Amino acid sequence: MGSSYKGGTSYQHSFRENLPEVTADYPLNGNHFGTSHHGSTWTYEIEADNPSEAAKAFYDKIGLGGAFYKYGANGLEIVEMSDGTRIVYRPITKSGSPAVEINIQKSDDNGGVKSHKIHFVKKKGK
Amino acid sequence: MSDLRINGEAKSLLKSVIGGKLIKYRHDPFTITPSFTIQGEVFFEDKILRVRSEEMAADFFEAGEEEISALFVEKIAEEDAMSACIGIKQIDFPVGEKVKDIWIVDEKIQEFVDNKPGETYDLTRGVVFILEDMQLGFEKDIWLSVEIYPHKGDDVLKDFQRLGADLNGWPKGCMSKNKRTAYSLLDGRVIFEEANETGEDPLAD
Repeated sequence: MGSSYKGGTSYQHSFRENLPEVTADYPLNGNHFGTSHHGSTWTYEIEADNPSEAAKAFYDKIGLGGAFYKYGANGLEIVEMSDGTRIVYRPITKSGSPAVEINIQKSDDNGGVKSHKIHFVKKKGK
Repeated sequence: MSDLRINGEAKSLLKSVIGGKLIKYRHDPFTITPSFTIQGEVFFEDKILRVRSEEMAADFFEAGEEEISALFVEKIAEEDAMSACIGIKQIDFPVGEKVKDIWIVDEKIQEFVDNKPGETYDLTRGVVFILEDMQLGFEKDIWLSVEIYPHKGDDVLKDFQRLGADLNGWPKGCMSKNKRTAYSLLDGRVIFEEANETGEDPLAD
C-alpha cells in the first residue's frame, strides 16, 4: 500500500500542469484562489451552493496525478506533486468549512501561486 | 493573542528524559520533501514520546478562528507508535546516545497592517535533543502544514527554515516582526536568538 497517483494517472503531475484545468472554473485572484476569508491575509474562501462538493471537486482537479496519501483523521488526504507542491484536502476542519491547502514551500515551480488555505463556504444571501 | 507553544506537561515529559538514553526515532519514509506527516516517535529506555503536528483553532489576525499547525509532545504506548497515514510503515533510525539537554525553539510573530499592530502569536517551531555526539531536532513546517522536518548534525538550528518563512506572499500594507528564541530545558538559558521583519510581497495583489 502507500501511495498511488490520484485519479489513477500513469505519471506524477506537476502543480503547474494542473493549473489550466483548475483556473477554467476557479480563476486565480493574483497569487491565490478565492477572496479573503474573514478579512484574513492568509486564508481565502470560495463560495459554493454545496461547499463540500465544491471542495472535493477543486481538490480532485488541483491534485490530479499527485502521489496520494490518506490519513485516518477526519478524512484528511494529502497529495504531493512532482515539483514539491503539497495539496491537503480537509473535508472536516475545526472552523467547520471544508478546506484545501496549497503549500508551495518546497516547490521548484509554483506557477506564481503562494502557499494558502481555501475554505469553501455556503454562498451568502442566497 | 494566540499561544500555540508546547505546554508545561510536554516540557515536563521532555525534561524527564534528560540524562537518559535516546534509543531510536521512527517516522514515515521521506517522499518528495525530507519530512514526515503529522507524527513521529522518539524511543527512550523507559518511555516513547510522540512529536506531533496538528492544526489547532486560534483567534488569528483579527480574522476569527482559523487553524494553525502546532507542535505537541506526548507520551504514548508502544502499540500507538505508528504512521498516521493508512498503509504506510514507519522506519526506525537507531541512535543509542545519552540526552545531555533539550532545546525548545519558540517564535513570536506580530502582525502589522498599514503600520498598525495587529495580532501577536507565539508558537513552538521545534524541539532539539542535544546528544553526546550530535543533535537531533524536529522542526514544525509552516502554519498551514502538518509536516515535521527531522534534522541531524552538529548544529541543527542552522537547518531550520528561515524565520518568517511562514509568511510568504503578504498582500500590500502587511508585514510582521518575528523573533525566534532557542532555550535550554535543563537550565533555562537562551541558546540562540534572532529577529527579522517580513514585508509585503511586491508581486502580491
